Amino acid sequence: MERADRVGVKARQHGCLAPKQEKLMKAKVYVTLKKGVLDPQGKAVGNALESMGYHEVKNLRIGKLIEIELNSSSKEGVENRLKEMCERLLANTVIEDYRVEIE
Amino acid sequence: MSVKTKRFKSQFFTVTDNGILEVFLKFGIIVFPGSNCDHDCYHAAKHIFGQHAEYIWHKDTNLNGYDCIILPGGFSYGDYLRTGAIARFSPVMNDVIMFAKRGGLVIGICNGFQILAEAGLLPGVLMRNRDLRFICKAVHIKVENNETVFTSAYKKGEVLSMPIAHADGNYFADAETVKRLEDNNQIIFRYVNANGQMTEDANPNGSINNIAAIINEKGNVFGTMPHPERACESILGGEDGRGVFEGILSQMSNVKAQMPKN
Repeated sequence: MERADRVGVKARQHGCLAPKQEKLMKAKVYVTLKKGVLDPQGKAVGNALESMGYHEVKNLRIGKLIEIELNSSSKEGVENRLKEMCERLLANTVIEDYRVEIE
Repeated sequence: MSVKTKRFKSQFFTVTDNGILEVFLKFGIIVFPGSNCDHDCYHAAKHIFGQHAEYIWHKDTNLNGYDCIILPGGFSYGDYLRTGAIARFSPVMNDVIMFAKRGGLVIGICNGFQILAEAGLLPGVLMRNRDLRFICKAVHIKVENNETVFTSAYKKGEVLSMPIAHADGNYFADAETVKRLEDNNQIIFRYVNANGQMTEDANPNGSINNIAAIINEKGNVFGTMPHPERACESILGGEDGRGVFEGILSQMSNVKAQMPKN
């Protein structure tokens, strides 16, 4: 942390400075099945596309997209919090990977 | 006949005139929003096996005095996100984890198994069934390990019939974990055909190595997809599930009967 930032944090703690402006951020969390974990749903949908004539479809896997709006003052802070949310609840890391995008 | 019933903390026992001590166990059945086999478990523990049973709301946080905690089947929180993922953060789960760490007996049946896996009390995860369908039928399972509290009433290799009713029972864990389960004898039931053979056809949901039920390393947390509590009365199609309760009763009653009386 830069010295100026440290001073800012201290000053805010003592109420000398207005709290850092929080703003509403939007994030997208992609939860996907790990490589090697079977995805029968993706397979069924892939087969359906193929039988509809889309022979170019070779592999299809289905994941989840979670859209979150959240209040935060810094992008790094949001990223860490989102990672924690993924590890604890949004993804089961035994079978799933996750990726976070912040707008 | 004068029968005195004493209550010692919450452990119940009866002393009859001729001094025979009858010990009762206290089962706690956790009720999550969406649990629907809680009554089956209560009925089995209380009315079939004559023990004490109480419901525990998922917001309660006191598990003192219970001998065995059951996480019943159902659809806790509508199975949203992943089965068991949200229930795992219910207030009572901290206490269930503590209870298990202290060596207390915990059984997760169906959705209960999914919750225990999400909570990390049992390894692995229960994924969507191989054929994507909800399966409700009686299946054959083989007792792989009868040296546990939960299966001591069975014979090793015995083939049982128990009902399953789930959409997410496809047990999965990484190769290392599965090897550890196999090496430590932690696989309790496996799906087999009527002759006891482990075939792909006999595997209803695609579980790795036909795994239907496992136990933790310490041997006090048991997760099963087949429902023993629904197979305790012949009028309901079979009694093969009784062994799970009988095993607990015989082992725990001995432990309690040997405990000091004051």
